Parts: sequence; C-alpha cells; structure tokens
Amino acid sequence: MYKIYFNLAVRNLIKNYQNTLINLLGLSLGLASALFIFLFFHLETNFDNFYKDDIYRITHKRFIYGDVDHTAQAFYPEGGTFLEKIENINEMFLISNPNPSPIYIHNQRYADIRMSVGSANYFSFFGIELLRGDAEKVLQANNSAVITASMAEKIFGKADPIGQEIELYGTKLFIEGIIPDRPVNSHLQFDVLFPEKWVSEQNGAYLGWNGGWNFNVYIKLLHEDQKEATITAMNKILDEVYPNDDFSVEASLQTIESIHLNKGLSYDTGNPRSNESLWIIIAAGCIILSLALLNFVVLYTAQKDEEIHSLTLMKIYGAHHRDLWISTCMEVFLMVGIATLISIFTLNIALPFLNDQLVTRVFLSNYIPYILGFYAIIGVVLTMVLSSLSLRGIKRSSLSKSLNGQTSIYASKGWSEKALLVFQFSTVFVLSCVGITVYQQHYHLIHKDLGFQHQNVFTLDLSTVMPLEAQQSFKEKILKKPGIETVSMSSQMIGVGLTKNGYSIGESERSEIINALYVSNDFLECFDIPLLEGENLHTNKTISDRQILVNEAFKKLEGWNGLGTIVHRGDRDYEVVGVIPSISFNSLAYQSGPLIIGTSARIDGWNFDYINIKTSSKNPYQLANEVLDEFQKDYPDVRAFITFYNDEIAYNYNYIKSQQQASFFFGCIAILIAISGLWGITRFSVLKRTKEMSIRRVNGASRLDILKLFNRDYLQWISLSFLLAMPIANYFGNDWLSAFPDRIGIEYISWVMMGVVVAIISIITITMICWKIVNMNPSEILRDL
Amino acid sequence: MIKLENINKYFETEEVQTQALNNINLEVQEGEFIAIMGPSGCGKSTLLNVIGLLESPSSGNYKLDGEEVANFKESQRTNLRKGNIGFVFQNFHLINQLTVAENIALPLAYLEMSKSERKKRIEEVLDRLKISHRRGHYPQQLSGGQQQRVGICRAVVSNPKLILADEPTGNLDSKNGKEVMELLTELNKQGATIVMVTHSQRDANYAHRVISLLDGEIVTEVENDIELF
Repeated sequence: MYKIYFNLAVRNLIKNYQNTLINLLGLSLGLASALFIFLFFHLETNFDNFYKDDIYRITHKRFIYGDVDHTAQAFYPEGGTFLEKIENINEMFLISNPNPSPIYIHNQRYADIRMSVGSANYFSFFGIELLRGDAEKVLQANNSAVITASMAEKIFGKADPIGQEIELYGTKLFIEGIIPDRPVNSHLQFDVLFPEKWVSEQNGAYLGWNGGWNFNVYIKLLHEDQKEATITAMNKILDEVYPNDDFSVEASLQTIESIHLNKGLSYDTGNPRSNESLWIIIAAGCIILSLALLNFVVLYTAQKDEEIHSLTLMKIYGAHHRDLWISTCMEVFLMVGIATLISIFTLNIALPFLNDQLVTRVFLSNYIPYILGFYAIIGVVLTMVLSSLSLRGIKRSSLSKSLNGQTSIYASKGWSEKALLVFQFSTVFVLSCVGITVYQQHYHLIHKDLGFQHQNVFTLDLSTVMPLEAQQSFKEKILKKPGIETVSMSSQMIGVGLTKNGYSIGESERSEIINALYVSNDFLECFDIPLLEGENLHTNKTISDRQILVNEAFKKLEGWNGLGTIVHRGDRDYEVVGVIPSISFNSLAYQSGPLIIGTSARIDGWNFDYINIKTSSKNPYQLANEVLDEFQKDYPDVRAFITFYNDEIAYNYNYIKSQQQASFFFGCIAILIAISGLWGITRFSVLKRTKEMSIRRVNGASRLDILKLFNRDYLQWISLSFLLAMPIANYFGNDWLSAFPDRIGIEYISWVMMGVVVAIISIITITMICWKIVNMNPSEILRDL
Repeated sequence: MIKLENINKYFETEEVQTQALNNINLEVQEGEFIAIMGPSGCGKSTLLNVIGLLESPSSGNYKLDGEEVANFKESQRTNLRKGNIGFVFQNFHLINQLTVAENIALPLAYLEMSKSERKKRIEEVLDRLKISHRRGHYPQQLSGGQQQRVGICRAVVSNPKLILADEPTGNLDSKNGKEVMELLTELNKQGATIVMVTHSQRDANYAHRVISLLDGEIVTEVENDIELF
C-alpha cells in the first residue's frame, strides 16, 4: 500500500513538474529565510549569557552644557576609583573598544586587526583559560600582548606565535599568550589584547577624569541586593569629581547580557543592535516566509484539488480517510524534504553575505540540534496542515460528486488566491520602493558636493611620528614631480569625522565643544576650499600658530564678533582670521556643525599624520605608489601607507550600502516568490478556465481578446497592490530618510517606473502561461473535457 | 442480495430541492445481471451510487446481504465496499500516474493480503482480460477499449460479490463495447452479481432483467429471456 502511495507521490511531483519547481523554489526560499531568522533571533537574544557570575557594565549620562550624551565609555580613572572606594564592588575590569589599528608584523602591514587595551585580570574576571601562556603573567608588562587563536593562525600560520613581535604606533609588543576565540554571541570581540600599562607609556596620553582614553568598565558586586546603593555611591564620587553643572556625569549599571540589544549608547563596543532593527529584520524575514508558505499552501492545495479524482478512486476502492491522509502526507513530506535540502544548501551559500550585510555571525555548524528541531517542527506542521487542506474537498463532497469534479472548491471565485496575489505584490512594491529610495540616498551621499575637492586627492597616512621639518622637506621634493599639484599636511582626514576640543569664544563665558582640525597653511588650496571672509593662515608658522579659520556654522555661536574674534583654549588665545563655508567634514550622514582650523597641532598634542597630495595625473594610483616608494626610500623608519580620499569617504556610507544590498537581496527574493506565485496562480486559473476560454473562442473571441481578459483580470489586482503599498512605502521611506541631515526627497516617479516594470513582467508571465491554451483548437479542448 | 425499500434521494441547493430517486423498491438476487435504463437525469446513476454506497439515501431501507446499510457511517461504508463491490465507469477513471498493474492493484492495497497473493491475483486478471502485455503502461498510452478492460480488471481483482457498471460502453466503439459486454457476461457467469446502468438497448439485452426509470421512479421491469447462472 505504502509503495503505491510513494510511487503516486513521486509521479505526482514529476507530472506536475512546473508546480513542483515553483513550490520547491518558494518553499526552499521560505524555509531558508525562516531558518536564518530563527537562528538570527536566537543568536541576537542570547548574547553574553554564558558567564558564571553576574557581570555589570557601567553606563553614563553625560550632561555637557545642556546636552545629554548616553555612553558606556568611561575615562581611565573611573573604574579604579570605584573599585578602591566602593566596598560592594568586588572586581573590576576595563577594556577599550576594539579598534582596527594598523600594525606591522615582520614588516607586513595589517590594517584590519581589532586591537583592544585591557586590564591584566581579563582571564580571571571572565573565567577564560589561555590556550598558551601563563594567565598570571601575561599583560603584566607594558609590552605584552595576547592574540586570539584564529588570528594567530591567520598571521603566523604554523609558526609559533609566542614571542612574535607586533609593532603598534612605533612601539613594539610581544605575544605572550593565545586565547580561544570569543564565542560569536559575545559582545567583547577583539583580535589582539594589549595591557593598559601600554597606554600610560605613550607620550601625551591623557589618562585623567576630563577626557583622553576611554574604556568600558565591567564590575562584579559582592552583594547583588546592594546594587542600587552601589550606583548611589558611584554617583556620589562622580559628583565630587565633576562639581560644575556645565559638565556632570550620572552612572548606572547594565547587565552584560543586555549590552548587545541596547543600542543608543554613543561609541559603544561591538555591534550593538537596537531592538527596533532586530524586529525590522525579523519582520522582513517573516513576511518572506509567510509569502513563501502561503504560496506553497495555496498552490499545493490547488494542485491537490485537481487530483481529487485519484483520491476519490482510492476511497471508492476501500481507502479510509486516514489512508488518504497518509498518502498525502508522504507526498508533502517528500516535497518538504527536498525543499529542506535545497534550503540548507542555499542558506549556506547566502550566509556570508547575510552575516556581512546584517552585521551578525550566524553559522549553521553551531546550531545543528536547533536546525534539526526547526526542520522537524516545520516539516510536521506543514505536512499536517497541507494534508488536511488537500483533503478538504473529498471530505466535504460525496464520492460520486468528487469523482465527477463537482466539488464546491471548483466553483469558488478564488478569493484566497486573489488575496495572496495582493499580499505578495504589496510586499514586493513596499520592499522595492524603499529599496529604490535607499539606493537613491546612497547615490546622493556618494556624489554630493561636500564643499571641498576630494577627487584625485590621496594621502600618505603616517603611522609613526615624523618631524615637521622632514615632512616639509619631502613635500618640497615631491612637488617637483610631474602630476602633483599641491601638497598639504593635516592631523586628520577631512570628510570622515574630526576630533573635538573645548573652547570659549570672545567675551562669552560659555564653553563650547567644537570640531578642530590642524593643518599646514596650504590646506585650503589642496582641497579647493574657498575663503569667504578674511585671509588664509599665515605662511610663518609662529604667527599662524596663534591664528585660526572657522566655518560659517561657527558664526552662530555665542561670543562671535566677526573677524578678529579671540577664541580661548586653556591658556592660549587664537584669533579668527578667516571664514570658510560649512563643509561636510563629518560626512553627509552626520551634522557637521562648527569647525576650527589651525596650525598648532603639537601644542594640542597632535601631529600632522597625513600628507595630502592633490594630483592631476591620469593614473593617480601609479603616482601614489611612486610617491610611497620614494617616501619609504627617504624615510625607511617611518611607517606609511596610501589612502585615497574618495575611498575613505565612500567607506563612511558602507553601512548604507549594506542596507541597500540587504534591501535589494530581500526585494529580489520577494519578487522571485511573488512572480513564481503569480505563475502558479495564473496557471491554475487558466487550467480551471480552459473550458471558458474555449467557449469564448468558439463564440468569436480572438486570441488577443483572451489574453487581454486574463491580463486585465490580474493587472487590476496588481494595481490594487501598488495602491495599497504606496502609503506604507512612503511611511517607511520617509522614516528611514529622516535619520539623514542631508537627504533626498522621495522620487515617486521612480516608484511608478518600478510599478510599470513589475506590471510588464507580470504581463509576460501571464501571456506565456495562456499562450499554449489560447493557441489550441477550442473544439479539441471541449471534446476532451 | 440487494433489497431497496422506499428509497428516496434528494439533492438540495440553497434555492431548490431536487428529488433524484422517488420511492424506489428493488430486489436483486445473487448472481443476477440487471440493467437500469432511462433518459438522462432520471436517476440511474444516483441509484447505482446508492447501491454502491457512494451516496446515502435520504430515506428508506437498504439491505445488502441482509444487513441494513442505509444509515452506515462513511467508515462503515468504506469497509463494506472494500473487497465486496467493484466499480466500472463510463470514463474508466483510471489514475493516470499509476501503471496498468498498479491501477489494478489499487483495491487489493486496502485488503490485508500478502504480496505474493496480490501479485498472483493481478496476473490472473491480466491474463483473463488479455492485457498482460500492457501491465507496465500508463492509462494514457492505451486505447479506450484497453482502458475499460483495465477498469474491469480493477473491478474484479478482489473477487467482489457485486459489480456496478455505470455506462461501461458509453465511451467505446461498437466493437470494443461488445467485447466489454461479453466480459461482463462472462464475469456474471462466473458468479458475480452485476448492476449496470446503460442507455443502450443492445447492452441491456445482455442482462437478465431491465429496469426502466423515469423521474426517479421505476416505471417498468422487464425480464429478458436469459437463463440465470
């Protein structure tokens, strides 16, 4: 008996190969999406849940001249002071955010290694055992470092990493230990950890209560029930440290498990995810899953409705309902089984892309029991639901009616199919329209004039401090090189974010935190920044060190009194000698605000780490390499590498590009499912209406009339979907755009164009399906019916 | 074997109630071959469906082998049909995805029967109806006459006491139709009780008794001069 069922199941799938392919495609995509969403949700909601002790991180509300900044970043003395003065704090660990710092190993540069500075009790605090090295000794010396196992293998291969030298900002560190890779669900991720003592060795490193190095501070409490009292004690200390109302800090505690899903803290470590974005991703996945499942259910049950004849015959010859149910289950299970394999294969291929775009780390090998459980549950549920739905026709009608195709399901108007069509295409339109807007905004940000020239400008990024005179000498040398127009120096790269300093302006007693950039006096020329008022910085550095340029936004600050206004920083005064336009020095994704440009880098503890070169060469990359070669020849001890401003500025918008690619990816899947759904629904509808088409043909309708009839029928539902989707897309599009200070308006014409493209694809799909039947001899069809 | 008393059957829609069978009283003896005739819509097929337990009567009594079955539940009807009643249809109603042998095996699949016994039975009927060479073919690869032979094979493979045939020659040419009728006659001679619905007087002549229906009522019963086997 079961052999017949199995044969019937296999042959049904082969016979209906078009439906089988559509169903398999949709179901596989749906299952892959569902599995990913399930694992993604599981990972994201289970961060840092593996520690034995209760661990807290200190968070802060910083009140800065009326503004409030929420951050977990603490200045260096905070953790140590709390541990010393508050009895209930049992242990304390501090670590800096992992920073992709350029390091050199065996003279080879590694730019993307995440370096963190941490206290030496890392291993005892988190209960981590070293794979190599002595946990009691590593990170004790200021030149000690530990490296993760995977990074050690990546860099050193089979060579022993212990004792290997790492060069960081001109200082040398030695690897003394290897630690296991941190679990993917840990927010604390780094490749190399080096000791906090290293920081104190750095020249000019400020480790006080008023800025400088920032750390995340983790603590363990002696008595959990005294948590509130501990917070009070912390705030009492902070009130003593910051008695002034202009700058005060209020501390609180967050559990380590809650860190990952607690986005909203500035400059936070790892990749915290907001609850909102988590639910948006889950919602997108669920929509795709429901599209796929609904498609599968509707198309499969429609297919089974067509096969009611076989089921009825089985029943006439003695099959009980249970036997038919088993038979259908076998077929559904076979289908789900094949879809499961395809979905795992597909997801495995798509995972690196999804992990990258959604900034997550889902790996199938980590979740094998979950995956088996997931497929077992989905498989059983789908099998039960589909088997019941597939047999509803035979259950409702008498056997003689079922045998002759007179069941009520054949007479239905297909509202469920129409509703499915509207749901599918509405989703497609929403995803596509929002995707188009994301693309247009990204294009806008990449191509918008930032207020300074960055095409064909590259920079020599110096990792080691270089005397100003040597920089000047190299500048004069390469200016003679053909293709080089201007050379200037700066403390940071413009367009990707600048540091902030505290200033007071003119007679105002108010302190302002203002972005500052230190440059050589030919900086404006190098970047074609016009001077709106006044004059450029003086060519004599002694004079220019007392001068500054400001941008137009600066003029709105309290204390501004035109050119000649004196700006105070500590005990130094600077005179405003010129005004430039409000250029986008922080990228267009953020508000730029007031800016101060001066030459006194060293005075403020900065260096000119960037030699900016503007070129007119047709081959700037070749020229850049020549400049680098020449530089390394002249200054072999100075580490340097080339960065093009265009690349660095585009890097600012990578997260938008990721969103664009993710929306494109999910949009494509939705379109694929929707079109396959349209294909399946139209196909069944055409099969059901074959008789109607033939009768119309016999009564004088042309082929075109029939095609028009079908296309009109479906296009009206697709148009309705478009109308329903527009307000939703408009809401989400505007909501997304509102996060950008510099944003485009929604271009509705491109949405309409996209609607037209989808309509054309739909017309082609419907016409292709109808074409065969429209071209058959109607008398043959009527005879066969 | 079959005893119908005051059988009525109504079909209802939201607006109309149609009486398909009106106070039918009929007895069929074991081994008898009867033909039911009448114009389209007179209730012939409905009567056959009631006899075959595919439909329940709206009222009346139906005794099959002395057992009252009119109010049987679906599962009871299925159990009773299983192995006891064979069906032959005008449109053959073969499952296109199954081969000839698999179609014939269908009624055996629901009987607790060893694999070897099943195989033996299938070979027997295939030989008896002379379509052994077609056992691996699919229905759409056969002629109409061959398809109906397969339909008959399926109806008799479980050795049922009762064979119900609904216009078995309706879709066949005269030569194939004659062959099918001769096959049914042969089966009847071998002991099967046959109830056949037909439009054809020629086919009805093969039966022992011809019952005519009109508007759901039996209007005449004519005995043919054929010896009951």
